[in-house]
Order: sequence, then C-alpha cells, then structure tokens
Amino acid sequence: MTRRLHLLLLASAVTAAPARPSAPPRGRRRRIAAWLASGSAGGLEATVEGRQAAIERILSPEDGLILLLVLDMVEDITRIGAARDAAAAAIEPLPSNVWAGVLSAQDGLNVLADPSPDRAAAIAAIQNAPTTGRAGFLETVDPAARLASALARKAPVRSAVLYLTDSEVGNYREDFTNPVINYSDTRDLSRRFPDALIREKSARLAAALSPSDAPVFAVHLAFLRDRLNEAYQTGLQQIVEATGGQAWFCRNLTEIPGAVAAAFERIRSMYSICLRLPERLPKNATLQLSAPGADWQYRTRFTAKAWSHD
Amino acid sequence: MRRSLIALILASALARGQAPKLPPLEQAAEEFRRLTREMGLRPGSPRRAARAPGAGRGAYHGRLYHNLRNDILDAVPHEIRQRGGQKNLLRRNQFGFSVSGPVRIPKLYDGGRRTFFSLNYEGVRERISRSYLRTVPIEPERRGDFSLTVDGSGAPLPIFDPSTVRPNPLYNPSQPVSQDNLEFIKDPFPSNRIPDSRIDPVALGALQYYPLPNASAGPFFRNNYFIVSPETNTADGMIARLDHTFLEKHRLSVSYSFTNGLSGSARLIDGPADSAPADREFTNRRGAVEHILTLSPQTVNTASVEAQTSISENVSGQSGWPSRLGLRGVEDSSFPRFDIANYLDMGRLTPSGRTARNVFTFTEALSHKRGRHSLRFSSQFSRTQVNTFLPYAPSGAYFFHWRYSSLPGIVNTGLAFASFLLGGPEQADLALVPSPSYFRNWTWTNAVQDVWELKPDLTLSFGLSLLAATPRVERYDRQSIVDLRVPNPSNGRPGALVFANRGGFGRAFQPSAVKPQPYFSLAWNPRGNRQSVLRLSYGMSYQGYPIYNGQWGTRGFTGHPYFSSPNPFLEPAFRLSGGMPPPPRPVPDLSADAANDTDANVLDSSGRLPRYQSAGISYERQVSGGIVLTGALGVSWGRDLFIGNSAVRLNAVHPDYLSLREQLNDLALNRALRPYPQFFEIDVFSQWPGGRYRRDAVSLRAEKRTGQGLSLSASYEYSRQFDDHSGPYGRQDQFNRKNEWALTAWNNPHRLSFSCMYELPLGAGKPLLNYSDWRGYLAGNWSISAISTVASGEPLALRAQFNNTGGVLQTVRVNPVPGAAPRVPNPSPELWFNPAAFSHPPDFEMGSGPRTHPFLRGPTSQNHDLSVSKRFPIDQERSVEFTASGFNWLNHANWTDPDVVIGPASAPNVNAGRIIGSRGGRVVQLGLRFSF
Repeated sequence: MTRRLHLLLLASAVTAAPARPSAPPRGRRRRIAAWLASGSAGGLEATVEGRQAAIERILSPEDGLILLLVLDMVEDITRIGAARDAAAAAIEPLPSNVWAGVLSAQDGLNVLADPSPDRAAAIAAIQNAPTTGRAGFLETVDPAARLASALARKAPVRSAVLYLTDSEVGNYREDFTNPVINYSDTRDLSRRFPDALIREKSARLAAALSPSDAPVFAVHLAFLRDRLNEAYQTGLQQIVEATGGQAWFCRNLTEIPGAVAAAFERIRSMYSICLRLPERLPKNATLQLSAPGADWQYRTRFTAKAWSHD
Repeated sequence: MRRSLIALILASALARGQAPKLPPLEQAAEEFRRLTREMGLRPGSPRRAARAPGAGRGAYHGRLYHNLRNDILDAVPHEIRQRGGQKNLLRRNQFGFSVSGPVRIPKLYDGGRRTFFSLNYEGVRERISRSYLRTVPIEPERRGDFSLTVDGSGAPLPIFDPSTVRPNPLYNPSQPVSQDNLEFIKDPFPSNRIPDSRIDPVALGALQYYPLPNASAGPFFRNNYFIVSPETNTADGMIARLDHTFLEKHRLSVSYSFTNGLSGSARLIDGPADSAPADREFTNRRGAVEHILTLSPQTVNTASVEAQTSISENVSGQSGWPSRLGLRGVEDSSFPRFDIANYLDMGRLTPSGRTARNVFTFTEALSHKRGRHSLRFSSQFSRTQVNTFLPYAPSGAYFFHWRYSSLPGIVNTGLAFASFLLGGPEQADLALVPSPSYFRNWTWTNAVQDVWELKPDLTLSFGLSLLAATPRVERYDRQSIVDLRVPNPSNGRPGALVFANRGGFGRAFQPSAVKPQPYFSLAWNPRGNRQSVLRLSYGMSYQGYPIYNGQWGTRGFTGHPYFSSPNPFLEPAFRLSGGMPPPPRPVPDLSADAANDTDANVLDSSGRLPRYQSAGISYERQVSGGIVLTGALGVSWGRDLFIGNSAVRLNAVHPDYLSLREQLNDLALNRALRPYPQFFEIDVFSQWPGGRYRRDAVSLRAEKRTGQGLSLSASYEYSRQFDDHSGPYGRQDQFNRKNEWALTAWNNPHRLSFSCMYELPLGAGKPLLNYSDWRGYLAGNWSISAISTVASGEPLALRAQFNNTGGVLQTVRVNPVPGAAPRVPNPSPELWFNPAAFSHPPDFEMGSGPRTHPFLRGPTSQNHDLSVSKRFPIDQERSVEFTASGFNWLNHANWTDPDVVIGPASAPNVNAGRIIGSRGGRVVQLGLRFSF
C-alpha cells in the first residue's frame, strides 16, 4: 500500500506542471483539532465570530499523522514501567498513516526516535528512555507544541504531541514549591496559598500556547492530592486544553494502560481543519463548525493569532 | 526501499529543476529532523543550538518578590477590641528572589546540556504585636491588703497568718478536717491585711518589676492584665542547588541551604522580670549530595548523603538580679523565676543556653522492574547528635501556692500571692550545670517492597522494613538515670542512680531495638471499571528512640537541688529572705544516692517503642461532569506511645491512701507511701512508652477540575479519637489506666473543608469582558484562591477548682450531678454548658467524671482565607503579578473555650460555663512578584 502511494506521488511529482504564482489569499490560517462524534465531515462549514471562514483543508483520520510522544517520567519505576508497556502496546497497532516520534523531556527536549512508521524503533526508544532527572513538562511543552505546529504547517499532515508524565511540582528545576527557607519565621503567611507560583506559570503557558496549530495531550501517571500538585495538575489540564488537547490523570496504577490507550485513540481519530480566518477578528474568537447530521467536538474559543503566518 | 524511493523522487525533481516534493509524512519527518537539529534537540546538534529559545533548556527563569503586611490593612483583632484596644502593631517585610538555569562560565564552562543551578534567597524583617490576658494582684494586694480579695463566687477570701499556726487541742482525728474540726489553727490577718513588717523583702523587691492591673475582663479582679507587645523576627536564608548529568547514566545533585535568624519573643512584663520565653538566635545549615545511576531502563540506583545542623541559642541571660533583690544562695545571674499559681509569673526558666542538633543521613535505594513485579530495596542510616547546654532556672525557680496562707486543710482560704508576699515558697529548685552534654544515637532502616500487577485491574503492594534503633549515649559517658531495679543504698528500696559505662552498666540504658514494619495495600478496579477504584491498606510502624534537647538524664554530673515544704499548710520550703539553702550535694557526685530527695530521671529500659497501626478502605468514583467522589473509612491505633509527666506518675501515692486525708499533707508520711520514697517525683521527660490511642474516621471528598483553570474540592470528615493521656491536666489515677480512656483532648469530630482555585473567565479570550484592546489587559488574568475550614470544638476537660488531696492526685475531675442535663438549650457565651450538672468532689476524693466530656465541646471554629491575584503579562516569558491575600477575610470571631473550672458548693466559680471573649481578626498581605 505504501509502495503504491509512493509510486503515485512520484508520478505526480514528475508530471506536475510548475505552479502558477498567484496572490496569496487574505487572512490568517489556523488549524483546528476536531473530532467527529457522529455523522460525516461532508458539507462542513465554519464560522468565526459569526462570519464565514473558508475551509482550506480537512485532514481526516485517514490522512497522515505525526505523533510526537514526549516522555517525562522520572519518579516511580512501577508507574514508568506500566506507562512504557501501555505506550508500546498502543503504538504497535497504529495504522500506517501514523508516524510516531519519541522525545524525552528531562533537561529540555531530546529526540530519541524520529517520526517514522518503524514501530520497533519507537518502542525501543520508549523502553530505553531515560528515567532520571528533573520533571520537564513545563519547560518543554512550548517547544514541543511549536515543533508539532511547524510540521503541520510544512506538510499536509495532522500533528499532535502526547506527554506521558509523572511530574510533580517538587521535582521541577525551577522552584514552584516556594520552600520554607527561614525556619524561624513561624508567622509566614505567604505560603498559605502555595499554589500561587504554579498557577501563574500555568496561566502564562496556557496563554502562550493558545496559538498552537497542534494540540497537546497529556497522560499524567501519578495523581497527587496536595494543594500544590492539585494546582499543578489543574494547570497542566489548562495548558493542554488551551491547545485543543486533553489530559488524563491516573489515580491508580491500573488506570495507566486505559488512559494511554484512550489518548492514542483520541489522537488517531483527530481531524485537522485548516481555516482561512476572516480579517479583522478580535484576538480571541468564537468558532462554530457545522455539517449536516454531524456532531463535532472542538474547542469553541481560540486565539485567532497563529505562531507564524502562512 | 523507502530510502531509495525518496532518493528517486529527489533525483527526478532535481532533474526537472523543481524543489523536491516528498510525500506529506516524509516531508514532515524531514522538517522534524531539520528543526530538531536547529533547536539542538538531538545528538550531534550544533553546540550553539542548545541555547535556542525553543530548546526548552537554555533559559534562565526566576522571580523577584516582596510581601508586605501592615496593621493599617488589618482589622483590629477581636481580643484587642474587646479590651478597648485600637491597634495591633504589625510591620512585616518579606522579600527575596529565585533564579534557575544552566551553568555557564564564559570561556570556561558551558553546562547548557548537563549542569543546572537554582538559587533562592529570602529575608524577613518583622515586628508583630501579641496580646495576652493574665491576672496580676490589684494595687491593695501588692501592699498586703486583701480586704477586697474575693473567691470564685465573690465572697471574701480570708488570708491566714502562718506564724500563728498551732495544733488545735479540740481536734477530733476520727472526723474529717473542717471549719468545725480543725487540726491546726491559724489566725486570720486582722482586716485581711498583711502588715508591712511581714512582707518579705525579696518579694517586695521583686514587686518593683511586677506590673499593675490595666484591664478588667473579670470576673472580679481576675483577667486584669492585658498586654500587647511586639515580637521581632529577623531572618535571612538561602537554598542553592546544582544538578549535573554525566556519562548519560549518572546524575549528581548537590544542594546547600542556610538560614540565620533572631526570634525576639513578645514581652509579658516590660522589664527584667519578664517571664516570656527567651529570645532565640537560630542557625540552620543543610548540605546534601544525591547520585542517581540508571543501570538499565528497568533498574535505577539512588544514593544520597545529607548533613544538617540546627543551632538554637537562648540569649536573654542577665546578671546581678538575685543580689539586687537580696536573694542569696543562688548564682547571681538572671531574674529569679517566681511561679505564683494563677498569677502572671516572673522571671524566665531558661534565659540562656545553646543546643546544636546535627543529623547525618545516608540513603541507598535500588529499584528494579521485572515482569509484573516492581521491587525496591532501600536502606537508610541516620546518625543524630545533640550538643546541649541548657541550665534550668540558674537563679532558682520558686513555686507559691495558696496553702501557706490558708487555714490548714480548708480550701477556698489563702492565696498564692499572699504566700508570695510572705516569702513562703512551697517548692523551689534550680539546676547546677558545669558542662554541656553531647548525646548521640542512630537508626538504621532496611526495607524491601514489591508492587505486583497481579491482573490488569488489580495491583498488590506489600513490603517489610526493619527498624534498628539504638538508644542515647553521651560522648563522654556523662549520663545517668535512676534504675528502678537497683536498690538504693540509703534505704534499700528499689531505685538508685546508675551511670553510663560504670558499675557494670553499658554506655546506654536501653537495649538496641529491631522492629519489623510490614505493610500491605491493594488497588482494584471493580469489574474492570476504570472509573472506580477500591483501595485497601494496612500498615504498622514504630518510632525510634528520640533525643530531646536539654540535659535530662545527667544527674550526678549535673545537680538539681530540690526543696519542698514539709507540710505546705504549716511551713514553707524556706524563706525567701533567708535565701535558697545550699545544695545538699556537691557537683559532680557519682554516687548511687545522688538523686535522692530530687525528682528522679527514669527511662523505660524494656525496649518498648511506640507502635502505630492503621487500616483503611476507600472507594473512588468518577461521576458525570468530571467530578471525582471518594468515600473512605479508616481506623488507626497505637500503643506504647511516648507520654510525659502530665500523663504518667510513677511515684504516685496509691489513691487508697486518700483515706489518710490530712495526714497526707505531711511530706514525710506522704513520701513514705510512695513506691520510691527516696525521690520526690519521677521525671520521664516525655519518653515513657505508656500511652494508647484509637481513631475511627469516615470521610467524603468531592473534586472537580476543568481546563478553564478551575479546581474545586470539598471534604467532610467525622472522627472519634480516644486515648488515655492527652490534655494539659494529666491523669487522675495513675493506677487505673482504663479509667483515663476518653476522647482525645484535640479531637474535632466534624471537619468540613473547602478549597478552590480559579482563573476568572474575564478578559481577552474569555467568555466575559472579552475586550481585545487595553480593557482586556485590565480585565484579564485575574485569579482567586480560597481555603475555608469549619471544625467542631474540642471536648471540654472539666476539672475541680481545688486539689486538696495531699498531692496524691495530679488533677481532680468533677462529679456529674445525677439528673442534671449538662447541655443548655441555646448555648451562648453567657452560658455554654450547665455548670450545675457538675459538682466539686469533697476533699481527698477523686472525681467520677471522665477526663474529657463525651459530648460537651468548645465552640465551633471557622476560618476563611482568600487570595486574589492579577497578572500583568509583559511578554511570553515575563510578567508582574500583584496579590492581595486576606486571612480570616470575613473577620470572623472565634469564641474561646468556656471556663471549665467547677468550684465547690460553698464558693462556686461564677465564671464556670461562660466564655469571656473571642479571638481572631482579618489579616491582609500584599505581594508583588516579577517572574521571568
């Protein structure tokens, strides 16, 4: 099948006439991740702030998908093992139009395996990924989303980022825990709301990532209940949902395989709808997708601005 | 095949003069490779690329901040307002910075990929008022005039002249002592006034430094001294950390922190007689090194070494005060400690001293995953050193009670302050400490744990750790205890002082202990439903031997002369004007009877250590709307808990001897009845393994989180906790532990908490006030955070006003009155419970009520804290955040507990059951933070 596709592309490349230069269409492009709960994508229309937005391309689950799997796992080897096994099990049966790349998040992003249809390489990268170091989600989610967005802009593919993370606030290099420094200061009230620093960081990142053309997903392996980590986990959800993605939180070891499988399935079934936005939109706009008999799930409010014009 | 195909495409495209056109996925993958190379995200990337902004590892992050509190922002606390105060001084500035990023030294070292640092500094400058309500003598009383002095019921309180004491020739020993059958007669002072000539000159001298009343909270002349004075707090500290990765599999983390501070306590008395805790200087240092080695993806080894030292120094020492007051027989140092029962004390107990606590810890842990098993082997060795020099009451501590100025055997006569004016302490002691002590011990814990994924929906976790704990030793073997098995040379009774490494005793007085600590837990998704989790758990643990600060257990190497009245109704321990008698023994004195006639220091040498066990079951379920509900049942219990002198009294006279009644006031007879008559009391220093507890709790919790930055959680817990030792008043019956089993003094059965964090949906991109211009800048980026707690009150510990039991009972409880309801229909500060439901036991009898009441509780308390923040983004990386936090922002007044002291029928405490005030007040803190 792949061979036929390549031959077809080869033929098309050889025979295609040089494209005529034409005036670039006006307005910005944004790619929206959406899911079809029921019905079909035929006859899809989009309005932004009540104005018609041109749909330039709809990439469906049958189109190419670049999945960047980012591993940010440094804590309990039991959970890490469960997540590795679950990720390997989820990658194995992915259809051939899904290419998975693997990165690690400790000490910044590091490529462990390039995106490719080679499942064995991806699984080996997952199984051999480093498991020590500092938590890296907050440091790396921005470059990871930018990378995935750039891929979506470069080629007509869907792209998404999936984090498998067991990060907790105390394990970040940048200090969000606001630790007690002066033990003799018994009347310190500034630490009564320990969530302030992490809330601020999350809000800043959510705002920064909202122009992303590629959704970010996250499976958090170790749900923690203290106020600080509660704020962190809320922030993590806020960040990924700002990109159009989704987060899963595992409260138990046994939930990890299901959550990882659900994340892979969510990403696999994703549509990517490329819109040409009307001009003079507010910075943040309301989107409405509609198609006869179809039920779409998508982020209704989004930032009209993208990371780069194309 | 794929590579050759791509090559063919490239060749063909180049031949036609076009840019190569790859299939989309290949195109994207090629772009991925190009970008990640440029961003420095892959091996072999250009060195400079690692610093690319998008690499996510090159940036420096941190913040600068300042938090401010000032009394002009706060509500006047209720306890101050009720005393007529208008202000509560508060000046607090807290400032600091933190920064983290890669280590780069120009032209020398670029640690962009491997070496990172973080640095946090914080300074505090604070003055804050504290308020206290106490009782001091009224002006006529200071002159010896007690004509206005009344008892708890408002009736005149007679003061008797101890110099007139004589046997009553008409005393009938077959009848209890009463006003009509006195054993001893004392004449009351004429007009209830102590003549000037009878006032002790030392007491008179001390009174110059004793404050006058300045309030009238009452009832009568009680609670008449209200002081608001500032505490000072100065501190500077820093935490530095360095992380380094090398040879791919190794990670090294080094951290160091320090803090220096001065904590100046709030003055209770403005002047040298202040009895507040001493001012303290703090110094803390901590260093740690951690090495993590990834042996394989399934095997990780972690080793760490940590050293920590905490130094605390009391710096309120003075000199020359005993000689100024005319007090002889003691070191001429700080103001003596005068403890005048219910009145405000004078002088500090430990004005000077120094304690350094050093802890060295080595930890090694190996984690390995094999199939469905995750194994962890760990070992932790911890060495503790406590170097301490804490002389107790260097100028002596003097205790005054009502008995010396009372009619012998008759309660509700006499007054502690009158006894003070007469210079008649009932007891006195001091410590003679020639040198510091250097205590040492260690603990070593080895553990193995297995997490077994038995089935996809069932995980078992079990483990066993062995705690090895050694008891305390002293570096120069300068420690001792009273061994209750060794006969005393002076009387042949059990209990003699023994010394470390002498006379056949080892360096320690307790055996080394090895205790198993098993645990087990289970997590199960019923019927494979991932939305639900059932958890079961059980665990058992032990507490190791503690080393407390202070020089307890060094008797013989240190001296602790103890003087007690032969009969407190008849004569004092000595007269203040005569000075403290000379110590009966030299220091050092390493003889077996060196602890005689003092409070003996006793250790349990059976090897028992506190044991805690807990078991729980919880069920968690995610319901619609993303709400997670959790219900839990838990039970925990413990035995051999360390308890202190308020809960264990090994040298208590058996209550059967209460039948001897007034004869028990004779110290010689009283001591003869004790198990160890050669000692006064036995001091176990909070490490007697004799306590038990049990706690049962049920809780419900609901959580909700959304991607809009909203997080809500609410929880409710109902708990019942019982024990046989908690509370400030001690056990009534040392010989009947079952009778002490009652609700724990701090058990709050109902506890409701709520917390939320919310990024408000305002401003650009949000549903409300969605402006894209400058208004959006103002309207957006607001967040709130709130914490609220409501808890029911603690159980009331009712007690009798007078303890006339000849010292047999440490505390006397009340008797329930049959048929009288303890509750009142509408509890209010005027009457919280019905005091008529309880009665004061007769003299020389125990109360029959429980240690804490089964259903009478103090008032419910509530607290609501709120923080509002506004973030001003500067760019993607930088922002300024302004925060206003209100603590108790509703300015809610929490009532204090009611007066639980029940007086005798002849003079009932008119205040019993009433609440005299409330406490709390809104506190506001403003904060500004620049983050980058």
